[in-house]
Amino acid sequence: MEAKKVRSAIERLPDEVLYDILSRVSNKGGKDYAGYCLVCKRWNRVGKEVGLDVSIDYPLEWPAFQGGGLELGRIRRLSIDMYLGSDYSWLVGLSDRLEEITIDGGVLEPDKPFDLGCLFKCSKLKYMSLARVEVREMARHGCGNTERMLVSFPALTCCMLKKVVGVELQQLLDSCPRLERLEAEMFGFNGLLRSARLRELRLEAEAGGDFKLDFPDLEAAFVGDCMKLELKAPRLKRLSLGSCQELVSLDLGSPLQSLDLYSSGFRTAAAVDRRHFACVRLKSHGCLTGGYCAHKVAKLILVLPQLRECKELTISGCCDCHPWKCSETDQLFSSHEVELPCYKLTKIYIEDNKGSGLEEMLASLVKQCPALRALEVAGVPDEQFLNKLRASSCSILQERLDRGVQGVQSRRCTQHVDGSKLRIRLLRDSIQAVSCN
Amino acid sequence: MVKVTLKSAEGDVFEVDEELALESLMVKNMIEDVGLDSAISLPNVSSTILAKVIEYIKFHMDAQKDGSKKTSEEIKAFDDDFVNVGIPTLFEMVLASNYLNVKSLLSLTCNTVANMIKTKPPAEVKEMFTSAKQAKA
Repeated sequence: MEAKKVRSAIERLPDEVLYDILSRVSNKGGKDYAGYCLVCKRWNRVGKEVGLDVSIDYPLEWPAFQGGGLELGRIRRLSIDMYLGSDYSWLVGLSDRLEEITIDGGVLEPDKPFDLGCLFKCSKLKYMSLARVEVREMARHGCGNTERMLVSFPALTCCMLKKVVGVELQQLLDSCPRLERLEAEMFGFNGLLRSARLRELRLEAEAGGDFKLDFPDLEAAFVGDCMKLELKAPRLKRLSLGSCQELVSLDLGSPLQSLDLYSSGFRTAAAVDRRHFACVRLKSHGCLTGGYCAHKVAKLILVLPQLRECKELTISGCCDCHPWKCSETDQLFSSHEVELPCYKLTKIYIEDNKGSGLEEMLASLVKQCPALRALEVAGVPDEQFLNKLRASSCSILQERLDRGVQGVQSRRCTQHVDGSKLRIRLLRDSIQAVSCN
Repeated sequence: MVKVTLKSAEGDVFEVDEELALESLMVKNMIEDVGLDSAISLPNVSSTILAKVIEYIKFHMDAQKDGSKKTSEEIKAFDDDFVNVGIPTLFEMVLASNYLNVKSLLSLTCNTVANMIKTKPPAEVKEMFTSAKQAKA
């Protein structure tokens, strides 16, 4: 039957499917590109329609590109590392072929001017990432202080801004009607942001600020440290919070699927409604970064009454505390007076913990969480400590078995450790798994 | 469970669950137009390829169901094995998934071809595809 076919499948492939295939081949440096262009005339023709991927890592490379006869209009992805901020007028040559642009001004001399007006032809731009540049959209037009941005990006879906000066976020949102994801790490931000399309937002402002956020379609949000926060996001599923001096309002629809709290942000947690606490991740960066150490986070978060609703808890981040900095009294788990309200907790993950107090922490968590089914510790610092932990976790399990912890159907199995349905896994790192029995 | 009858280029008949058949947007449109009573004829797809496409959709539907124990590694292993075929067959699958409009399979097969191009020097790419063109699949 198949022999009847006169033309092979490759020849019957429609141009648009061939284009789809060839556009998945990166043609950076022209090497891969050369390969498929040799196959036949049709492949060469279709291949030429695929835009170019250009990456300029060193400022002096550009003249070489020009010498190579590169057609700017054919560029599909452009990435400029070490953007110099001068002699970039050629960017005007970019056409509506451009889908992705990445520009980084570098750390040494940040805030080089970048003119968004250069991209006025790029109506199909989907991804834009700007770092450490000063955006001067008006340079071409010679006027300042207008209410709206003069260029718009009708196809832009993802925009990343890192330490960028000169961008009004609300103006940006207004001129990108299809923007779904915005990550903005600003020096400062104050005021209201709203967009009906945005699905993912990351907003950080070094100098803090008053954030008023109104996003009817937002699903994931990361809000960095701020003074005041008003968040209205009825469809939000995942929220990460930094420190917030005053949580004015948190207007969310249904309970959150996950709530991440950062080391400096745990104060905010007390003001968050308990229904959002089903899955909590606590991330501590140690006290070096001005945040709070894991012990303090644990002390302030784990005792919150909201934690009664928590089913899955992740504690990550190391504790760099010196003994004199993090006194014995801060170590929650060494004192048995504190009752942890973690009755519903079924899963606990502990990551990247440097280890001080970890054994006590494990023991007391296991003791106080009768519904616990899984306990996982990853990133144990060394083999010696791992052995210590392994021994102690075995005795924790044994003790739990013997005491028949309240609320747990303690069915004795033939296997000696997981009779109480609790499984403890200790991981030296994320790859090598070590079983505790 | 409602069944849908699909007829390959050779005239072989495949009876599949409606749910599975709807994964092909082309078949879905056909069902909406002509209903479920008559067999849906697919003159552009051979029996061998149709059987493979059905196998692919079935595996991924099962893997997505609640309670599926398949890990992402197992799914990846299945995909890798699935496209580990000769170039003529691979292109037959690209054509079939494009014709049947099964987005995930089209993307998998196109990626596979693209990776073949990526990892080989130009002369080899030329050799590989020109010889595959001449061979009648």
